[in-house]
Amino acid sequence: MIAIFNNAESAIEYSDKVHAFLQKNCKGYNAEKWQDINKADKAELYSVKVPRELSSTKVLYTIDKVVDSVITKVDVRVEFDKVVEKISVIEKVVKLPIDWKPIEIEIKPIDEKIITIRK
Amino acid sequence: MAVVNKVVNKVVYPTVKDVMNFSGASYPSIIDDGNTVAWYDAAAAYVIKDVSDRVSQMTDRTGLGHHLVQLTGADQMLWSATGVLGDGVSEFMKTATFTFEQPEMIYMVVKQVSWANVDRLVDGDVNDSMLIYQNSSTPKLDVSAGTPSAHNSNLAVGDWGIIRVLFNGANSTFQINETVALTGDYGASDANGFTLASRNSGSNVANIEVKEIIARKSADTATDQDIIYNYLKTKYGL
Repeated sequence: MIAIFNNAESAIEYSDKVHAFLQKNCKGYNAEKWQDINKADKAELYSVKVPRELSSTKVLYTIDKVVDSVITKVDVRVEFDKVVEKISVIEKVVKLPIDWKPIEIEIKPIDEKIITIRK
Repeated sequence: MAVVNKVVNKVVYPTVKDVMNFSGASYPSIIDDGNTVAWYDAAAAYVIKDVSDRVSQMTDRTGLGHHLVQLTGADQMLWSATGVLGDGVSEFMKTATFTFEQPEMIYMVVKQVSWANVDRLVDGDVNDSMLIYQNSSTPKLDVSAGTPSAHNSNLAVGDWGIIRVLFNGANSTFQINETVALTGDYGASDANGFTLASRNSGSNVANIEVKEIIARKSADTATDQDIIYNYLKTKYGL
């Protein structure tokens, strides 16, 4: 299951929240990060994998910036640090569409408020 | 590796290496001959995983420290009692660079959960330097260290099998289970590392499950190959 976003900032924010959630709730989780986001070549769409802990029955986090994708979209909810938000995620994606690829994200210091996306 | 105990004040303590290697099952001494450069086993004792069974490390049983590692949570493979599973979307593992040059011998107990053209079961530390990959049409597998082999159709999707590949220039071989080995020149690239379930770069991710992998820096003789093959075959009841 992946979540699709129409801007990099939301995708990064979601990935960071997943990471924090797992650090807090998943014993033995020792990853350095949850994920570098993936970008579609032909559209401003960004995807982040949804961890199995946060299935549609145990929902995580939502944001209304999610856009439609090629696969059925479902709405899920999750409580994260007691804040309930909504997100739309894509179910049962076996593979990302072929024109999607990982990108490296370099985030500048917050005071500069610049996010550079390097393909 | 051989169990050699240290005697301290007449009390026998196992070395750390001994503990790492203890599985309750014996293995052929050839694995200890100095040519095994990496040995991965999906048994829980040799895997570091979280409570949800995401695998951050498959520990190299040789003691050489050539661990398969994945520190990106979303890309961590899933452990179960049957093996370590890659989802074919983003999950893979790789080692740091280490010296691993031809002749290279790979033994791998693996299942193709699904098949997708040019997805990689194995690679080296350079893209396409030591490939075992899905190619052409299901369930065909090829190998390549620069030059693709002929297709091998002897591992059906959903079946466990033992793949053995010798990357050795013009004298390379590729065999699945006890079917006739393919032979040819599969190229001269050196792996210098090990990537599991994807290309070195993390692309072409394969949907596979793995029980055990033995990587050796030798052109094992037919007799030695059979010893290791029979060990794996017996261990997993194949």
